[in-house]
Amino acid sequence: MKTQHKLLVILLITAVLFFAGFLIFLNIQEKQNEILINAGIEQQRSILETAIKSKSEVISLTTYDYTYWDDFVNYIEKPTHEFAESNLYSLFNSFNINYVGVFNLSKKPVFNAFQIDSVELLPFIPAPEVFSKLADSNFIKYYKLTDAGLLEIHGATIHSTADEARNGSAFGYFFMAKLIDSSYLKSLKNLTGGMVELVLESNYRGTPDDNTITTAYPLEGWDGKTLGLIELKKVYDFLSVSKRLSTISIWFLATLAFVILIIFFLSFNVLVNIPLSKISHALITKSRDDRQKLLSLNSEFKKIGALIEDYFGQQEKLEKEIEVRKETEAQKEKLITELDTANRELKDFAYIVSHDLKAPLRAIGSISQWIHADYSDKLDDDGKMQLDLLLSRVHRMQNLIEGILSYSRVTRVKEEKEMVDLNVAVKEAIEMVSPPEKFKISVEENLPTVSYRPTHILQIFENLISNAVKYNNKENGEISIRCTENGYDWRISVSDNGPGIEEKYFEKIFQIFQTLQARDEFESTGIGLSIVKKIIENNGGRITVDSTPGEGTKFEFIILK
Amino acid sequence: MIKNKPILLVEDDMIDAMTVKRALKELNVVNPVETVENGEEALNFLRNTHNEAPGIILLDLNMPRMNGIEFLRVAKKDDHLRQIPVVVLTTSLEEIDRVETFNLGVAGYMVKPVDYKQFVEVIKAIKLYWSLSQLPYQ
Repeated sequence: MKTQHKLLVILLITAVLFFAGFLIFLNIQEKQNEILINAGIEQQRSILETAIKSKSEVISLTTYDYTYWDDFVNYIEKPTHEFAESNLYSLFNSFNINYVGVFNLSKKPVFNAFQIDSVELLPFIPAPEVFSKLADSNFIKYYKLTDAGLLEIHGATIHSTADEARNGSAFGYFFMAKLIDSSYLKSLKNLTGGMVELVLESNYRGTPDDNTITTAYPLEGWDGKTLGLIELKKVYDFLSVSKRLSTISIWFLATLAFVILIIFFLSFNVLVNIPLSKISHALITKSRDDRQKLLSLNSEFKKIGALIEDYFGQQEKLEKEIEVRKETEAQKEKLITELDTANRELKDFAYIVSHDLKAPLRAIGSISQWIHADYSDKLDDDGKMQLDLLLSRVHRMQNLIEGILSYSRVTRVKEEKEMVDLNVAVKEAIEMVSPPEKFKISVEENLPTVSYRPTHILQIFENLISNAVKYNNKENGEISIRCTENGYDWRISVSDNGPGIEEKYFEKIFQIFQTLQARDEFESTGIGLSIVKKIIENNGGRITVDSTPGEGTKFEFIILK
Repeated sequence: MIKNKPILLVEDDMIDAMTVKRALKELNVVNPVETVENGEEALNFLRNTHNEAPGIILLDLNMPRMNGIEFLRVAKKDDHLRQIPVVVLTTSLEEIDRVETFNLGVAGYMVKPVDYKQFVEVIKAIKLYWSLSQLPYQ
């Protein structure tokens, strides 16, 4: 999965979560509205009820007041026209009622008047059950449907002032009624501040669809049956505001979420994705242009870009270095090959030349001797001496050739290294040199056993010992061979009591064909020490010379363990 | 030397051949000396039934066409030639040549000295060896 895809998935999940939260928010909003509506309904119900009660209270209080009055009791006993005229008719106007009825205990009407706008209508007598209810409870309030309309009727038993608690028996019954007419509804409207209507049926729980709450007050007959309802419809602005608010919030939040997502995505793309793809692109192509672009990146990526650029710079440097090294190496190798070839040719040359030079040299030697022998009677002493000189030069040349051969043999002949017991090797070398008997050679006991080519060890000791013997000018020649152990190597010394060597010749004596005496005085090829040096150095060692002229010479060399 | 068995001298250098012959004469060796110039000629000579088989072969190593070592490799595989003693007479002081020729069963290895008198001494040693040594078919 690519990082971009992962990011998209993360964004999608975020969006889903966001919308889920949004739905929950909506739900809460709805619940809140419902609570608000319910509260509104309750409030409105109580407003309507209070308004209705306040209106009926006036009538019920009047009814109450009239019903314990001694004059009224007298009026029931002996109804008089004056009383009715002055008192009872005044009730219609004073309390804006439509019906007044006074009944004696035998439920016969003493006064019974029903009028609307001062127009007398057919009076009516309440149902017998109403009277029996009144006998039980002293008061009654109920509604009744008449031809004129719905009446709100209040009834009470009549008592004397002596019976304030109305415990005694009643003297009669008193009724007042008010028609639920348009003026009644209008006054309710004024009291409640909503639309008031008299209806037969009502969905009085109300719905907030049109921001209106509807409640209803049931109007019940004496038997508890609902005869009709007073309905109150009220428009509440907060409902529409809340509704509008939630719609606005929804759109606002949705837009905000969308914008945030877009901004997040874009900024992620710009801040992370694009730099990352630039970096990975540069890492893949490794091109200088792409890498240069990394340096213009922002913040953290700039550091990374710089690091990458640095890394590539180092790598390029390294690559260049490697290239140069390779070239040098190749040159070296070429040089080594050339050197190797030259060296081999030189070795072959030394071998072939010296080998092939020997045959004619031998012929010259042989023939000069034959002339000497065959023609001795014809040669004078001068001639014979010249032939002798010729022969001696043949000998010298032969020695030189042998010298070249043995010098080149050191590296030319491949011989396996063996464990060589120096005690045996030194003894053998002394035997090969066979010094004069009076020569004293002291050899250190318990010389080590070393890993070396046996012939090389022999050559070293033979040359050093024979030189010491050959050049010794003392009557009692002495040679001392010593060995010391020193870490990773052995140091072996060969000292003599010979004439010694001046320090300025220390280097020269190790060079091939270099001798310190004229060849005619002392026959030497000057090859011995150069061979010794070559052998020792070929085996990783070193040879040094130390000498005091007149007292002796000490050669010391190193053999690796 | 023993009877009059011929000596086969395998030598390309004319003066060396002369030297050997002169030394032999000086040492009163009367056996006839047959000289051939290289290994091939030596094999031809030895395989020619008209030629009497030599009592000893004096062999130079460094020769054209077929050198001494090559000759020995062939001769030592040959049942008839294997028994003829071969003394190497060479200029080479090389250890490797010495080892190889002895591995090929030579009777002796002599280095040609530059000095004629020493040369005579070498031939004298060969004569002595041959005089004392017994050949298998005699």
